[in-house]
Amino acid sequence: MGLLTIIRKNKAKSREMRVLFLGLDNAGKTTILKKLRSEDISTISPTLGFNISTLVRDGYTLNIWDVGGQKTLRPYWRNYFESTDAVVWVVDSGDRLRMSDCGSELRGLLGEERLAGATLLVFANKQDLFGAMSLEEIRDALDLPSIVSHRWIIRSCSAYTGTGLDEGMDWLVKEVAGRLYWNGLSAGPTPVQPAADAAPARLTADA
Amino acid sequence: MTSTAVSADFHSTFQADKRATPPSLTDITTRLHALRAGLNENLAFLPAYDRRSCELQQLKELESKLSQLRSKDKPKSRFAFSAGKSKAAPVKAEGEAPTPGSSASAPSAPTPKQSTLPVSANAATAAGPVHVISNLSSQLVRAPSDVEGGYTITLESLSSCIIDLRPPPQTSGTSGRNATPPSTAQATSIHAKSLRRCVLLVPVMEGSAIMEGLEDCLVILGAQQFRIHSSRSTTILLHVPSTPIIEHCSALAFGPYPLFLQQPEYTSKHHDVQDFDWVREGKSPNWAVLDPSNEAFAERDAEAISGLGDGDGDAS
Ligand SMILES: Nc1nc2c(ncn2[C@@H]2O[C@H](COP(=O)(O)OP(=O)(O)OP(=O)(O)O)[C@@H](O)[C@H]2O)c(=O)[nH]1
Ligand SMILES: [Mg+2]
Repeated sequence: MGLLTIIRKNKAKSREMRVLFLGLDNAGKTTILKKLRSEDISTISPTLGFNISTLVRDGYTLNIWDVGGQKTLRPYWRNYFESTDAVVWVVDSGDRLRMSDCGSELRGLLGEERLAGATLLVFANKQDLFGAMSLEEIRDALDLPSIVSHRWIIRSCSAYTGTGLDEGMDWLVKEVAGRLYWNGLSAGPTPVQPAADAAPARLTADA
Repeated sequence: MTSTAVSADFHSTFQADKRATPPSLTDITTRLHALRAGLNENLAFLPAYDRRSCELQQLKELESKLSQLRSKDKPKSRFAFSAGKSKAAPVKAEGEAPTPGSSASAPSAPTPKQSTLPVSANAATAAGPVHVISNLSSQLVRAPSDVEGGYTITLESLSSCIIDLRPPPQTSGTSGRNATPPSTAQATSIHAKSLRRCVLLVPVMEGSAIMEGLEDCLVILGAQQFRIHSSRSTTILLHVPSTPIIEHCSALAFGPYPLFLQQPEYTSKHHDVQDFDWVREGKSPNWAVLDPSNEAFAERDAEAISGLGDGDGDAS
């Protein structure tokens, strides 16, 4: 049995996942995480360093690193890359002015060797805002369809209303679990409901 | 001092012009431009108080005339508008298998370029009306009227503009056909870039504000969070329950939001600014607090903006 297999088995047994929340400042990363934990979101300050939190979903413990996206902090993102199972890239759907910055930062991440195996969930956040960019616009602006290096999905959500958060996280857990259990170990628990309007090309874990 | 003479001179011209303003939309608009141009030319010479007084209080009067006229004339929208599907779209997901070649049919519809197209609409792919206000100078910009609920607005490349995002005045019953049900629209998110010598007035918002490249501006705003980048010489009267962030900024002044405009329930942390360029001990030299008990600030500025108190712009 190869070393990698052992590592994977151990990881699967501990049923833990390491998830990185990244994105430009003001995207809503911290707000999404607080909302998922049903905490107060009205007094959140911009993140000056990082926050760690855990979420239990579907029997998996997600160790989540939420790193500040302010320009000054972005060079430090790399300190958190090691053994990351999934990246959640949060986008402020109202931020037309910085959508191209957002795209190039994301490109930079995907080129990182240490993130090579990670699954990518893009949250088009703040969809509660009238006049926000749509999921399709954001997908194209970030040129997601050209990504072939990572498994990815983009989902609409609002940290204010909570819409879309659970669906996105469920997909992520299922997807990562499918990968961690890749060697025929026990299957993940309850399968997630595919979103009603999921695109045909939507990813599912390898059977 | 020559600047006194210049400013006195400008002041009387400004006053005369203001009085002479005839009650017609085109004339007012033209006049307003002329006043604005004059103001801009003289801006450097005017003491801060006069500047604000002209910009805020007095132009405000003209502004209300203008809006009265506009409620009769058809308003000329400055907003890029495209009516697409409603924002209440269900949650959507899209993804692709990572294997090269499996990239389904990547719809290659070009991303609509964000622009300010006057009045007419194109870009049928956008979701709901898009409010990008850009490339204007010497204009009064009011809150858009074709919005619902919490909306987001983008401001870009504006100079010498007054941007007033308070809800548009409710037309009273007397104006007959113009009477509209009260709007529930509320500015909830703002993104601004490259504003020079602008006054930005925003009601206290539920969401956040982020701005970049501001110079010689006055920002009056309430938000859940406030971030400002690469800006200088700007006064920010702010109500915010979280720590404001500055990055690559200098000569910023933070003061309290004028509470006679609006009184939020939470206490403000506008004085608790975090400067990303100042990690050392001691206070950053890039910003200062405007102390409301400081006479230089309190009376003059409060007075200068007090004309903004009656938000419906009804002078009578
Ligand atoms: N309208 C709206 N505003 C949101 C939503 N999510 C977050 N916000 C607001 O956006 C601002 C930024 O949210 P944060 O969660 O602090 O963003 P962040 O990505 O953690 O930012 P950094 O810590 O600076 O990297 C806050 O004022 C939030 O209240 C949303 O779904 N809708
Ligand atoms: Mg944060």
